[in-house]
Amino acid sequence: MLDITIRAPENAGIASIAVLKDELLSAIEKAAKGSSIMLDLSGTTHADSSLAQVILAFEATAADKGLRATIKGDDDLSLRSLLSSDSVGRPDGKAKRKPAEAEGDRA
Amino acid sequence: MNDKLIETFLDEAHELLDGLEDHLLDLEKNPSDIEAMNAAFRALHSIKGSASMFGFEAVGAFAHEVEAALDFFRSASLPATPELSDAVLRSRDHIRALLDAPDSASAEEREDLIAILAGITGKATKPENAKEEAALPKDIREFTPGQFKTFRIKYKPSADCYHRGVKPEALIRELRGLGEASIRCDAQAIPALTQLDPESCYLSWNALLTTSMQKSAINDVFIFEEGTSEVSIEEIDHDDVMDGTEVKKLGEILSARNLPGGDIDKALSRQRPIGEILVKEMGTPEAVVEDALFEQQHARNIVKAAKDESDRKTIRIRSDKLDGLLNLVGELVTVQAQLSQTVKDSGDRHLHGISDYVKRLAGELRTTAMELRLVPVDSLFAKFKRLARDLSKNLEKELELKLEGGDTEIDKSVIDVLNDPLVHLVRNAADHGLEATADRAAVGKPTVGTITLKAQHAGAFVRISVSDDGKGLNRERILKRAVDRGVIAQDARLTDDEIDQLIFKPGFSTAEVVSNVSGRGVGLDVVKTAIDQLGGTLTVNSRIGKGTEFCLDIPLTLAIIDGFLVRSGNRNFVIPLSSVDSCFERERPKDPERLIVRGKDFIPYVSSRDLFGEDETAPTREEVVIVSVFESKLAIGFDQVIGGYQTVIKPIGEIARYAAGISGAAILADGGIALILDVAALARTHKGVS
Repeated sequence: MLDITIRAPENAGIASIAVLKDELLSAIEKAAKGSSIMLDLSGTTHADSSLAQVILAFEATAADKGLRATIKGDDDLSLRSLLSSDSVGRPDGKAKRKPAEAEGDRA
Repeated sequence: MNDKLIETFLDEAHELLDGLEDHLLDLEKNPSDIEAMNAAFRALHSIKGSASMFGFEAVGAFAHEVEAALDFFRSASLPATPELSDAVLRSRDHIRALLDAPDSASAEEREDLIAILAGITGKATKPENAKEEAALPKDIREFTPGQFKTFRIKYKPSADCYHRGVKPEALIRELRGLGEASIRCDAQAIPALTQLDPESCYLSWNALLTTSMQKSAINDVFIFEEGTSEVSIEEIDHDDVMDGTEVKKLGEILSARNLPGGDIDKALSRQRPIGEILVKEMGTPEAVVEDALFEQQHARNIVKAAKDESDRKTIRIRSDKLDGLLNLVGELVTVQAQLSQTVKDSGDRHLHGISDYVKRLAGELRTTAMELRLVPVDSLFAKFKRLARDLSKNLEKELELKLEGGDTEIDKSVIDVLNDPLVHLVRNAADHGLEATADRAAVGKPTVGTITLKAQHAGAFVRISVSDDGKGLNRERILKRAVDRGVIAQDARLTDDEIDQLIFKPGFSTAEVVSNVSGRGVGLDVVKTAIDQLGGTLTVNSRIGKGTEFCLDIPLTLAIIDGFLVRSGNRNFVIPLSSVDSCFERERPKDPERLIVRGKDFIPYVSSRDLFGEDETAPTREEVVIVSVFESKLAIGFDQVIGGYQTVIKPIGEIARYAAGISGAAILADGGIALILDVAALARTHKGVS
């Protein structure tokens, strides 16, 4: 199975985000079911929330197509950091904290 | 004014000045560091306020001028210029001088600095949108419900925000700076990649912010989003989520949301999470429960931050009071040893039990008293950042100071004594160790030289090293200088190690130019003397072209140690227990030995009888104690091992200089004296034989 790596640009801001999205989309179209696509952020030094949006859409779309999406990069490029948030409600609802899992005091 | 209050003010002001220096150095490295700018401002603001209150009017007035200059940049979100950092650093030094010796602080210098600061702010251009008076949020750790408010902020940027040059996450970061925030980003509106317009924003944020600031400060964050994006700011009542300083239960929070009380009671009666039951079985909207959970978590964060602060509450105690306490504990340890011995001799079992209990209490008291005096070496290291920065400027050499092992704890009295020797070693490394920037480039080294200050524990010792990646010691020049000065004979043949040690001889310096940094011909011998007086050792390792490392091995404590009592003839010795590796008994060798074999190791050996002389006839068997200090081991033969013994170190002053291998003395339970062995010195002396 074909494993594909897409390298994000050094400056993954609004100016270059459309190109990155197209590359990811093209990789998803090419990839066979069950294969992996890695988004490599290790060369990225500047990014903003537009990258976070693309990552979230990429992960959800890849999962829908039966592909494995992985992200390689440091903590500064984590979704929480890119979005300045303590938690993120994802489009696929995967990481969203459900009331059933809540550890809040019950009474 | 009460002297004690003034003393406390001065202590705190010095701490604030140390912190200010740190923040300014950070700011110098990263001029846009808002946190460092704010922290520097806060420190100056605190100094200004307290100084006026305690009658240090000149300090208050001057700090006000400096604070105003800093605030000019801070409130306008301007990056700190090198001139600003430099002037505020110099001002910080001047404030220190004003506090320490008001009469000697130069008024002329003060006027100069004020003029420089005015010039700097005059040159800087303030953006039109700069806030004139930016107040600072109070630290959340001071949380009391009355002084803080909590706001729920919802922000949904317009889809075209990126095209408008707005970075919504940057606004959220700014919001965080206003207090304690819990922030959740909702990305559920993001479509599949095929449908995604990557230049449109699909995100929204929910935030809970507890702050001492007014709502207008939050409005300011979103000022450019008004009319284009959705922003709502709503104050929420603390009572909704907190009961005093306790976080309310989820059920209590939800009942305040007008959920039917019966539903909540029913849900509570089940042993399942209330949120799950309300959503799945009672039709409560998931978002309502999510919001309640979010608020509960935020309230927990606030309570935890406030509690952490109260748990950390400290009191200030004069170090001489701690010294007094430790002396008393030392006496107690000695008396307790005498008591144990007397009780043992009496054979009284009841007294024996009491004596054992006293022994345990004395041991615990001793440990606590020792810990009270331990301070992280970081407090010492932090001062060197400024020194390195100033050296770099004065010597026109690019240099980086690395600090390692800052959390290593050492006795306060040792820290006090170490400052000057370390200053000298760091100056020496910068001036003589590191090459000029151009010379480094010429030999293919990184242009930025590195000086590393490192601390680490090793048994009863702490090793502090100062190393550089410079040119290494020039042994040829050292030898020549030693011969010229008559330190060694013309035909002396020395090993590399022996040559290196020559630099510790009094008046020795190979510096060709006397600089204002080092190289006045005094110094390393003074460093060595200071370390000797601490019962420590100073060694140097150097490699040509690679650099030089000075190692200071200092006893962890100068007062009480766990020892290992041994006897040779009619003399008692104490070995610091942490240096003892192992011991074994054997037939006393008939012929002199210099090495013993233990497993695969060849260990240098010396008999205590040879070391310290002994007239009594030696017993046929001997006890060999193997001691270990850093990388070195040494086996020492004694007549008898008596066992573990907690002892108070009594300094023996000048005698120690002439008694090689002895670092102090201890009073034994029977009133006798035991000499404390300086195992580091003994291991070093006998290292050569292996």
